[in-house]
Amino acid sequence: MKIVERLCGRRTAGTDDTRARSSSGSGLRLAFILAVIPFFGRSDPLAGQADSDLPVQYRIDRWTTEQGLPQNTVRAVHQTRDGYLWIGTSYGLARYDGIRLKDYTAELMLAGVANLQISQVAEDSDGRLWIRTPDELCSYYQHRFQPFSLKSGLLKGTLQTMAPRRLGGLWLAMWDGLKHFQDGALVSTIRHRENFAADAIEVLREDSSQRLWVRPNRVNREAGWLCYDPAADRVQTVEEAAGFNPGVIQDIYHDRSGRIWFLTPEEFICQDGKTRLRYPAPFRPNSIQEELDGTFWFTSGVELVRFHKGEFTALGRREGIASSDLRTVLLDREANIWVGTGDGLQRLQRRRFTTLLSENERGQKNEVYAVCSGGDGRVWLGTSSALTLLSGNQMTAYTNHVTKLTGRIENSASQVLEDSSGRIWCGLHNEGLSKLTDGRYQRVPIPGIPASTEWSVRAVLEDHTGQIWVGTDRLGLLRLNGGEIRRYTIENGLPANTVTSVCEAPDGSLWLGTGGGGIAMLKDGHFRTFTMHNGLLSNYAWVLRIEASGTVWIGTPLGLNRLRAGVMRSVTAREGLFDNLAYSLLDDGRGNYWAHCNRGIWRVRQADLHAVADGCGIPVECVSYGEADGMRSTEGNGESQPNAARTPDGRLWFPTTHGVVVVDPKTLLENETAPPVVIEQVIADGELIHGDGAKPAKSALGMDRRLPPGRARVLEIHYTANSFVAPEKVRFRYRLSGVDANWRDGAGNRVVYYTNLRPGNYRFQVKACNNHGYWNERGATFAFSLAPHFWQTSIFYGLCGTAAVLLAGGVQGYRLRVQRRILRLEHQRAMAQERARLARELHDDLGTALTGLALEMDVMQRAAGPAPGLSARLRSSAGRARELARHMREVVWAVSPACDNIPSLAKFLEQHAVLFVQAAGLKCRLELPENLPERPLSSSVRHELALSVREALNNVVRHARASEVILSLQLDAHALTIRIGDNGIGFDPARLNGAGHGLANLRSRLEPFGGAMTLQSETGRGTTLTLRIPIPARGEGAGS
Amino acid sequence: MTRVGIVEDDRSMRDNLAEFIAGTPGFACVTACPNAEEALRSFPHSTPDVALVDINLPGKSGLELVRELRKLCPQTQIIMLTVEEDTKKVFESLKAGATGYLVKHVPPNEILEAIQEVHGGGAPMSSHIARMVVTALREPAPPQAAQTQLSARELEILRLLACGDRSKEIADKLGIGVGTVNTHVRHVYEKLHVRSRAEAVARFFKAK
Repeated sequence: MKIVERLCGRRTAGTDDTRARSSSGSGLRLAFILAVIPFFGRSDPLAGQADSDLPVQYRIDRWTTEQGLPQNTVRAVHQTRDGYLWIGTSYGLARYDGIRLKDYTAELMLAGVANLQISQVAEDSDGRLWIRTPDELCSYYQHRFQPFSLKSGLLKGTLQTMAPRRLGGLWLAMWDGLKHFQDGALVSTIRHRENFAADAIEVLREDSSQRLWVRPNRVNREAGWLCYDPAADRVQTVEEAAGFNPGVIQDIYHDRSGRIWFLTPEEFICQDGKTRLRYPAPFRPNSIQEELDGTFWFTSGVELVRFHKGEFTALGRREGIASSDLRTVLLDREANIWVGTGDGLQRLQRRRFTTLLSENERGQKNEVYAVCSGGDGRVWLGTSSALTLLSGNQMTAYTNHVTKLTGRIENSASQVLEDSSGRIWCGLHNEGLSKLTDGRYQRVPIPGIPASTEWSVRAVLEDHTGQIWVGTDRLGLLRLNGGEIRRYTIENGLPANTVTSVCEAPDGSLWLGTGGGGIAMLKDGHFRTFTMHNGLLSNYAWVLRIEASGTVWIGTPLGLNRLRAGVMRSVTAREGLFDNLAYSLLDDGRGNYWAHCNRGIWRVRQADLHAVADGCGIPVECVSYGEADGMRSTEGNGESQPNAARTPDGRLWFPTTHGVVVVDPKTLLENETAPPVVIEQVIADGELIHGDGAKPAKSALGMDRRLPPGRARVLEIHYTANSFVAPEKVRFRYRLSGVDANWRDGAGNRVVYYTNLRPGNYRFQVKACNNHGYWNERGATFAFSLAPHFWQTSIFYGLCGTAAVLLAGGVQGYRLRVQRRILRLEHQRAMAQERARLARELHDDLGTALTGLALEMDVMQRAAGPAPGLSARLRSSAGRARELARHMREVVWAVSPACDNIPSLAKFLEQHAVLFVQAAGLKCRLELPENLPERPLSSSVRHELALSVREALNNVVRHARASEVILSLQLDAHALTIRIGDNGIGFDPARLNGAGHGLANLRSRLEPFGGAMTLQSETGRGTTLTLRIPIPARGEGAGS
Repeated sequence: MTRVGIVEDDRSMRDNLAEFIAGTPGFACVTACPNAEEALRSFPHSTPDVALVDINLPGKSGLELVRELRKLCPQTQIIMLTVEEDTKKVFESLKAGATGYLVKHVPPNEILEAIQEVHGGGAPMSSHIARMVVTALREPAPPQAAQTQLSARELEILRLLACGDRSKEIADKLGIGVGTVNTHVRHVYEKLHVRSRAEAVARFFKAK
């Protein structure tokens, strides 16, 4: 996209040729840009006059349809107050924010604009953008286009030109008069006034006192320019208004300081009050723009012209302007010059850095590897063609002799040092160390090293005693003291034989950076090393910078280390460094460190660097410089140390792959224009709610938008900042009140997403900074509210809270109940198990033993034979044992959980009744259901029933004088009914007094279980006793 | 002479029972075994007429012993001995082929009577067993045991038994001899047994 051109101007007036030549005896020609001249040496008479005139270098970029322009003939360029650049072409309209070219052609067509040839774009005082086409006047305001036809309706007619009216609205010069158009209505129309033909205006200028300066059209050209004061409704000629006759005027310009410029075909006349300045000008100027410093830019139609301090400089195809069809010029707020041409849009950007280039005959790019500041303002450069000396405004190249070793004619110099006694030390690639004497390189022999050995110098240093230290790529460290050379290698304790950096600390100790061995300190002949084990980021240490306090900064390929009082700390890109790599670390004497890397030059405040190394946690702010600032290549060189230099005049010199970059921190022009921030689009769940194409929202108090419930699952906010110097370096910070407690770093992103926002009022704020770190703190704001669902209201929360409390209470209560029940059931189960165990043991062991005992007595009784007494006693003993066993079985039956059911009761009653009644000689009849359901019956109930039945049977046997007993048992859904009937004598229940004791006893047995007893008897008709006990229906639990 | 075999794990019970039976004229105790395994070895030689089998035996259960004895010694009538009237187990053994049961704690004379009755072709049946038999045999029979439906007379006798009547009273009520009543009850036992086997066969086929 970018066509970078070297550019200087041709002066039409002023000094001579812009190139200065110098040559060396070598025959190599070095071309040198004029721009360097004022920078050279303090002795130079031009030094310090950097603003004198064009040594200013410009970079030119160009945009065409390939980059997104709707069409390549750019007829109108305008920057609106929100910073956007609007570009009108012969077919379509576009908007640019530095990153994105947005094509509005389709929107214009959809809005009803038929003719898309745009001739003028202007913004009125309300911030309304006006776009003029042959058939329409179209406004753009609050994301909407509104066209006004010139073919019909209100504005029917031919529109000659328009100008924004300072007090609002537009001035329209139309065939039927000069019209004031505002808010979609014609406020006034001015027709003829004296000699003022309001219907024939071609050019319209409004000055700061709202007077209109107009040029009549060709038909009425003789009339000349007129000045119309709408407030007084008065017409004046130029002569009357200005107090002199400037002659034929092509254009009139009102500058920033209130002066009027009358532009005639021969000269520019500037009227400042009573004084007039005249500048001969062979131009027909168009589209005049004025810089803050009073520099004018305009187009003559075929060239771009700069008018500065009375001098015109024309820039055309030779200087890199791509077209000779220049339509319009715009100077944006950051002093970029935009030129609309018939061949796209071009931008000229002032280079803030100076790059010194030298080219050899073959036009190869000239790499610079090292810079050394010498005495008397001399600067030595180690380049790909050996050494070059800059002195005053002279440039001398010392090419290498033909070397025996490599056979090369020239050789690159990786290192250069002018020592305090004026000797020039030079490291030539693979040829070791040389001295430059009288323009000749003389190789320094190293004792013990054959002359044919290839090695290179990586670092040089002159210490405070005047000794020269040389770091080499494979021979370790060399010390040159007069004619004596001492060599230190691994054998002497050096951590590696590649010494990349040598630096002297204030206490006289020598610090070394090595390739692979970390860093080392040489003091009193001993090395002390620090490696990654000590916290060094990498064992390859390239840069060493020792502060006056003795703190050592170490530049590694992975970031910076700080060694202070034996403690190693690190600062990397994660902590805000522009790049982990620093080829150099220069102190500018103003509290900053400057470094260069392969992505440009960067600068950081020393205090910030120390703070982050101390662990303050706030990332450092780096300002970076690149091609936008004047570098030809951002790629630096820096394999040897030192490579960059600070000259005594304070300028910083950085070697790059494309010349040496010179920066003067004192006079560096920074981009101080904070970029305007715009929130372009807000999209809620895929629906555009703010921005071009959004449905207009109902105005809401203090809110840009009210969102219905549930409409912000995904909120997408697009924003931008209009900065054109280095838009890719614009950084953003944003926050959403209520979500983000602090500003969040948005880096260079121009969109942010929020998900699942809670109902409430929100303010989204975004701010931006430009490439040099100037923040627009006001930024932009988008306020919106998100309505709650009914379930998100506080009333609902209250209800929910109450319900939750109640529910929790209920659950807890239920849990307690269940727990109690579980406990009870567990207890019952444990009881039942205990009962079962007891029953089993009684039954199996005791029961069998008793039965066996009884049987044995039976056997003994028989064996006793006729012996009187003994036999009877044994029989009765056997009987008692059996009785005991029977009792025990009853107890077992009573306690055994296996018997806790109705069939078990029935069986027990049956067996007992049959046995008992038959033993008494009565007949026992049974009326029992054939198939009793296994419904549970608690042990206490069945025990009481069994005892009751036994007592009843006992009564029958003892008192009833019956021959037959009937035991019946019936079960219905709710109750168990047991009847004991006899065919005995019966009695009169009414006369049952004392004898009723047993019956009351029976009743009291059943009452605790809700049971009932009834007695039915009649004298002579037998007796029936009915026992009735409620039985819980199946499924109602075991009861009890 | 009634030859009696005893299978009882409790030693005192077994010895006393054996001594009592052996000491009673007309009875002989031909074998007394502590478990089913020994009984299966001993019975084919001793060939008791009536066996008293404890329903709860260690190892092989009384119920299994009954099943095997019915095949091994079909002529031996089996009376189950039980500590208490565990109706289900008793009923199962009756279905397996036992002819009656006795609770152990009854006086020894009653034991002798029961042995005598069974050996004499009688079929003692208590009232609640009778009720269970009625219920069991009333359910639809598997096809292989269609002939196991109770006859009207058998049902009548079972009903009377269930109401507590004794064989003699039933004979009186129905105007038939006690022997006839016994024969009917025997048939009931047989049907019970047949149906039990048929059910087993049916289950076997179903499982296949």
